[in-house]
Amino acid sequence: MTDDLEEQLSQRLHARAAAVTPSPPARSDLDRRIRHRQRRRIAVTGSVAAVALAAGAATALSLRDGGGNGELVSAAHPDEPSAAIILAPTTSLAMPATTAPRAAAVVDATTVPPPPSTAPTTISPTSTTVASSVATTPVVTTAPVATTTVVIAPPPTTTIPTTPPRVRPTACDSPERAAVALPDTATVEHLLVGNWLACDRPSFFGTDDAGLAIGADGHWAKLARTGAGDLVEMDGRDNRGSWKVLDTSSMNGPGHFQINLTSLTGGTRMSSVVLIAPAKLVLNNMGVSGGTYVPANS
Amino acid sequence: MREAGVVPNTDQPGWVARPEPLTFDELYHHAYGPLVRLASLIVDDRHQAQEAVQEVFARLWTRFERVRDPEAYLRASVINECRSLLRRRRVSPRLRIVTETSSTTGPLDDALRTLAPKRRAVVVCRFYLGLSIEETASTLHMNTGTVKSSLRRAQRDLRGALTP
Repeated sequence: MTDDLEEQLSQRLHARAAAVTPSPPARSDLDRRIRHRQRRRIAVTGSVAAVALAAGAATALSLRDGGGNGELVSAAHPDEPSAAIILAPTTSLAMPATTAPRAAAVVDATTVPPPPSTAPTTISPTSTTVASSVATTPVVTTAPVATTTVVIAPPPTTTIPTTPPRVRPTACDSPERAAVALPDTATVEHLLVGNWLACDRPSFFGTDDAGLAIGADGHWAKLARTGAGDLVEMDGRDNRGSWKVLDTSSMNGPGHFQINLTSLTGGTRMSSVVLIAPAKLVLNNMGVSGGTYVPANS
Repeated sequence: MREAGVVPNTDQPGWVARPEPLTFDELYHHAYGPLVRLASLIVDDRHQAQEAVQEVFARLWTRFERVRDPEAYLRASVINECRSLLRRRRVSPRLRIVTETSSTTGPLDDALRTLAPKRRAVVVCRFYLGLSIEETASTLHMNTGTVKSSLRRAQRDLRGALTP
């Protein structure tokens, strides 16, 4: 029954397909569609930029808010509390909203000792994640003082952990001759086994790994460089798993193969396999992600 | 750390360079017809099939240099575009279409139209394109297990629809 159904299905689908005899429309029609897509993309990009700008402006205004009560406080407002000191956020656009503490921007005058004359008052930021220091910000006040300058001290120097400098393998820049035709799955598997260095980062996986190890025992792993510059296989369920080569020549024509890289989490990354002389491996997942690799000993 | 493996020796005898790839225009004229036929089997409407194929070609234009295997990209994109169209049809009655002419209808065609988008795409890949389970999974970005279960359910649905 199943075989009959499959046979019928195949025949019926081919018969229906044969009844469709389209001819490609003129290239000008396609060009028009391409232009329309480009215009749409520009419009979307512009909209996103406008929204981002509006969000930035809203952030700037919110910094003028008196303690986050939802009402905007203007320096020239007649009902403004006489004891409030409001910072004019001249650099607020450069400060991420999440790292700009409102409490540090609005300071109750009762907590600040009376300024002697023009001596600056230093307020330490409540968070050390303030990205930039705001120096000599003008202050508007209705209190009967001459001039007050509030300085937010710069954050303490932080040390960012360093990784070994990234070196692009020289073989990546060797002139390419041609893609090679791959005869069969066994040959492809044989040629793929080894350690491969990523020419670009992010790699085929979209991460900052140094390369890809493909083992003859059917395992794969992302490679990383140690501080000493050695290549090591990365740990983690997303960073290793099993691999398999599929012959896709019936779908894509002779000499086409695909590698499936299944991680220990169960996800599979699929890619076409292209080898370019001299020794270069090109992985490409339908244009979604891709990466060029060269042998690690090159 | 593992040692570096075998270096691919692409200079060895018997390895022949592939022929030059098709240009975009050549690909457009060469692949348009087969892709529309493929799309029309899934969306069941010639005009929407042509729309889908042209949309995919327009998308390919912007990334043609980066796509390594344009034909495979086109095939997968057309199928996925058609699946999206079928999903949109389910929520928007305006997109529902009148079935094709009577010359292409029969009990099996009617049964095919009742299939869910995913199952219909699997059936077309398997029985029209003749792809293996693994190739179907790769084209549709599914697991092989999902393909097998979709295929089994599609056959069950079709048998149920064909049984008087």
